[in-house]
Amino acid sequence: MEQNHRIKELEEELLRTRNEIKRLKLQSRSQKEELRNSVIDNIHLPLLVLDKDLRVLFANKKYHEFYGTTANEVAGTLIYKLGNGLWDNTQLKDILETILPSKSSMNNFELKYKNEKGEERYKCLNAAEVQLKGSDEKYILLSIEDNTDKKLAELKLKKSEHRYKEMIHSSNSLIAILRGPEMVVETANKSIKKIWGKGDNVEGRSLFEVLPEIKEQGMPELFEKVYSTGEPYTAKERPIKHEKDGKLDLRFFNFIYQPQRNLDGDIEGVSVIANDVTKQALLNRKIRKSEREFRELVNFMPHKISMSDPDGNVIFYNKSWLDYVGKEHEEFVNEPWPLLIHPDERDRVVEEVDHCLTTGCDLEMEMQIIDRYGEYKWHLCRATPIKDEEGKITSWLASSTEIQKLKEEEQRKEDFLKLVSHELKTPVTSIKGYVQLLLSILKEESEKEEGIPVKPYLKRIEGQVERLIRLISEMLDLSRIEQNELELQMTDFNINDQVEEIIEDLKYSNKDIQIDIQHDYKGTLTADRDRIGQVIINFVTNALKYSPDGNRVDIRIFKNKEDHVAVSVKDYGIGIDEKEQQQIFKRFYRVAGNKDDTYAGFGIGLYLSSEIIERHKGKIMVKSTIGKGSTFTFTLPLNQN
Amino acid sequence: MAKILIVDDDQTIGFMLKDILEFNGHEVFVSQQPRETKDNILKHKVDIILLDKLISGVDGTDICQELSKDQEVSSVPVLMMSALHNVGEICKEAGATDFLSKPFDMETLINKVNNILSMHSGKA
Repeated sequence: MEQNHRIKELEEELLRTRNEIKRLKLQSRSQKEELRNSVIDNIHLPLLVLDKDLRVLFANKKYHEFYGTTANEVAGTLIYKLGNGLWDNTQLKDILETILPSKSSMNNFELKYKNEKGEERYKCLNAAEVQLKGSDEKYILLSIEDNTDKKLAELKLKKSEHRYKEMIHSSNSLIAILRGPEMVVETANKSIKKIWGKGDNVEGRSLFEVLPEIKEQGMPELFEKVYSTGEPYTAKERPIKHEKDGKLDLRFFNFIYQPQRNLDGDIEGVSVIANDVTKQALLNRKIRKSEREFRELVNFMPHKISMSDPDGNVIFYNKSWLDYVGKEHEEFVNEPWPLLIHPDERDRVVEEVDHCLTTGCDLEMEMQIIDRYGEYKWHLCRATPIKDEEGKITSWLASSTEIQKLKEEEQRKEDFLKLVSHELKTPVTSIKGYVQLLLSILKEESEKEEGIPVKPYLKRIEGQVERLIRLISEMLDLSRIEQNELELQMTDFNINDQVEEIIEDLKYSNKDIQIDIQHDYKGTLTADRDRIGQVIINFVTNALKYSPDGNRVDIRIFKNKEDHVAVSVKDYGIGIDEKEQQQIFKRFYRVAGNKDDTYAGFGIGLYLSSEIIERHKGKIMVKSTIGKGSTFTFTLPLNQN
Repeated sequence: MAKILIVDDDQTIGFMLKDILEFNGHEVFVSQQPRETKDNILKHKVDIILLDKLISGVDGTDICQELSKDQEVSSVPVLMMSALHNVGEICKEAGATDFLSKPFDMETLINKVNNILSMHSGKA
């Protein structure tokens, strides 16, 4: 009985225990569920649990937060109908309905869509099929991650990487990135590969294996230095030889070797950015060579050469200058140049130089420049502006030539000429005086010397003496023109009277000549009467001299312009060749020909005439036909002012 | 007829002038000593002097100036001569009555001498 009671008690105990276990089991299940739900809700990703028909069983808190939904709204809804058909995507449909059932999970499915603002968004979906133990029921767990930001960042990175690569490869610059102490080629663009000339497959090999020829050219040391010190190395127009088809090809490069650091700042390679400047470098070398040669030339020359800036500040003097003044370039170039000029000429020179600097005209002047011993010496100085393509003056080039000896010689020559002509004049004066005295005596006692033609002979002597006097005068005049001493004595005189007087005098000693004067203009003009007379005599004596077969000369005085008077002398003689017409006004020029001896003289008559007329601001000209004669004309302004 | 003193260091010129002027009826004295000009003027009582500009290193214009300042002889007209160019004005400034450029035409010489004489004493 007691035993039965005990059994009953035990049975009750067992039942209690079972119930307790059951309760505890139940309690633990609901705790687990709660735990599970809490976990799900705390997952930061939106999460959907779907049933086998793809209807929502439930969504986690994050989902509702993100998509603004409630549990009731979504429960039982077909996934494709959620969120305005956001999930109604063919690809997703395919995965959920076809692939998933066979593979039971789907990782990182990317869904791209546009939000209501039209912005591109990206979602990353992960799905897994889950089946509860002891149940046939299958569920789908779908986590939805918005990875737009990540995606955009990725895209950006990709783009920039692409751009970077594109930049490197499409660049005309020569670019390579080398890694490690061995300088293994990591990247080399097309341009640099072309220069290397070792084909396309150079990546992964040491640079010095690819280009053994640069080992001897000091390049490994350069790379090593950049790699070890982290200091970039820059080179300009460095010559490097690359081996191509068995030959060394010399080219010139501007380049920079830059250390490449990783994120921790450690050097892990060297980048090469280079430009092939061979053309430019060769040109520069040529320029430098030519500059060197010019400098040598300029220093070699006995002339004093200088260069100035556009404002006339001297920046360069050649060796000849430095030797002359006995100074170093640095010292001399900083001294004001006007101090070199003789004080008497300084103002004139500075004024003239200023004029040239303002107008950009050439300069040519004679001046006295002081030497290292304090002596002034005559120089011929010339300066000319150097202009750029637009015509802007970039500098001035000046040369000074010492003409001291020339000046002294010239002076001696002039002095001698003056002396000679003065000394010649004395006997000539005497001869002329006696000839004229004799002629005068004969005039009175006319027929005493019967049978002896004394008078005509004396006449000839007189003519020749006149000629001699003219030659002496010409010689003196020439020296005066050279010395710029030909002064004009301006007076008002009647040109018609003057021509008549001259012709009268000429006829007096040469009765045979036939001179016709046509006065189309009658009046006075302002000029040096004697000098103009000299020109007319020169024209007429030339006309007679070059008319061997006749003695006819036509003179015409006329107005050729409103304020110019002209005198022309026409002969019917041998004429002048067209080529020679331009030459005859030059000094010492004489019309050449077989009859050269016939036409005596210094050949300075027309030169003097043209100088005289030019100093009167007039013009001298000739028209001539061979065999028919010549017409010489000069024009003068009526008023010299 | 007038009394004429020629001062020129070149004998040939001096005698040529003498011959021409004598032929034209004048009485002529030739001197090569410019320093003796005043004495010669007084000695020969000349009416006109023909004075060369450059005589043995002496400048004729200096002589001319001295004469024109000397009251005893300043009334005697001076015709200066030279083979130099452009010195006429200088000579006239020095007190010369006129200037004759060498070489000259006999006619010019005679005319100049006569003009001066007629202006000064009517002895042409």
